Amino acid sequence: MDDNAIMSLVTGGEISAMGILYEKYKKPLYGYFLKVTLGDCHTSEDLVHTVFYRAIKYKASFKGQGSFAKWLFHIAHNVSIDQKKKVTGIIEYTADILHGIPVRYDDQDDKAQRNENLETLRKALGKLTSEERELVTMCKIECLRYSDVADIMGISESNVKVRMFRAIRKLRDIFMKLEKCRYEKTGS
Amino acid sequence: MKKRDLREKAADLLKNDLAPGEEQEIIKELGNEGITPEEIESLKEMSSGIENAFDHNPSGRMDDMFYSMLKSETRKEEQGELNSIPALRNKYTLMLVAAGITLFILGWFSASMFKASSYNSDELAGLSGEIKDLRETLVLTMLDQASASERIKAVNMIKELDSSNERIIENLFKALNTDENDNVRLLALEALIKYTGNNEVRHQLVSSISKQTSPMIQLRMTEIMTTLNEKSSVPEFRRLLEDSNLNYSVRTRIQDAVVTLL
Repeated sequence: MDDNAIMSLVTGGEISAMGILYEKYKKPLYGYFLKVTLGDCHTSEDLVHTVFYRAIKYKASFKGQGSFAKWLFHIAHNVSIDQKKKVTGIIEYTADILHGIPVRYDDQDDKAQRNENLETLRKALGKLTSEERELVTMCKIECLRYSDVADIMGISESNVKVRMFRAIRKLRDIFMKLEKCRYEKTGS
Repeated sequence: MKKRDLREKAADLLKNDLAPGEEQEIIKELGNEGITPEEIESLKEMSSGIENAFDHNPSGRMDDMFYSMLKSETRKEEQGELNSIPALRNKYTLMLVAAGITLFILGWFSASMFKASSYNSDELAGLSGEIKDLRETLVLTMLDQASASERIKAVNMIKELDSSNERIIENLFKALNTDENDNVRLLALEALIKYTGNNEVRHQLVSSISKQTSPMIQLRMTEIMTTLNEKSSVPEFRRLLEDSNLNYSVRTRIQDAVVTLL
């Protein structure tokens, strides 16, 4: 049973069938919001809930012409915009924001190094603008193509690709700077 | 190649979305723009690293919020369907009035019982037992109704009953295994959860797994068996996995559950 077939059940009144789609998409959506909110688990869970609430409320707007994933992430994008309006100021990444995310410190050097790199990457993601962060996050979602991201964000596919490449280069530059600072501080 | 076109192709390159021949060509072109193959490699690493930056699973709170919202929205939908049919709406209103009158009579009757000092506690307990039996009979009769919404209402009433007699459990299993409506079966399953301390109930739940065809019930069964750590459910889940038409996400969940349970 593909997503669109399940969604036709939902639009036909079998609301409970949305449970199947929730089970399939809850993790990608949660991962998306986790990156957009820079690791705020609690808010990300609330936002996933809002997406599915809206998906049920506006189920009639799903016409089955595009993929369900694209429709769902379109809602997620709008939810994300609403969230940004609520949050005033710039969200800065700090390790404290990772409510509930265990920071693993392993004995093995390579794993410890990996954890440090991830920590730097999270900080670097926090230095991107919220639009850039959302774009790179959405482009990494497996079930979405660049053309889907373009439709969701209301820009051309060409623009998505150009902005994506630019954002990744910017992210890499920030990452390198942060790593350099870390090496200078620790001397390691 | 124009600079903008090259940037577009570079994005495809990061997504490993280019043919091998084309990839080499783009890497060469990017080199002419000052972007070295080493930089491209590090950009690829950066791009794939984003996925692991916040590697975390949501808590059970998110599932709780979703399923409680789903239940409430399903109820609203059922209610909407009922209200959209005038004849049913009248019938429903009549039922509400009848229920109100019954409650009033029961209230008056109970009050007079307490007033009558001649009644002892045994008699009161007996009367309360009879009322409980009557309520059980009523909900079990409702469970046999042709309308799915009536049966849903009945299962919801059973969930609220403080009763665990065999008749109730037997009827819940009958609904779980044979009801034609997915929602009734799902609610029956939810109602049975509170009886899983009983070994016979657990055994019957395990036997019911391979009878379920609805993906949402299969998913819920998987979650319940994993929570209960019911290892005897593994052969039943394996039987479900043999079905080539099994929903993909259900299959994945069952495979995960089997690994967890073993």
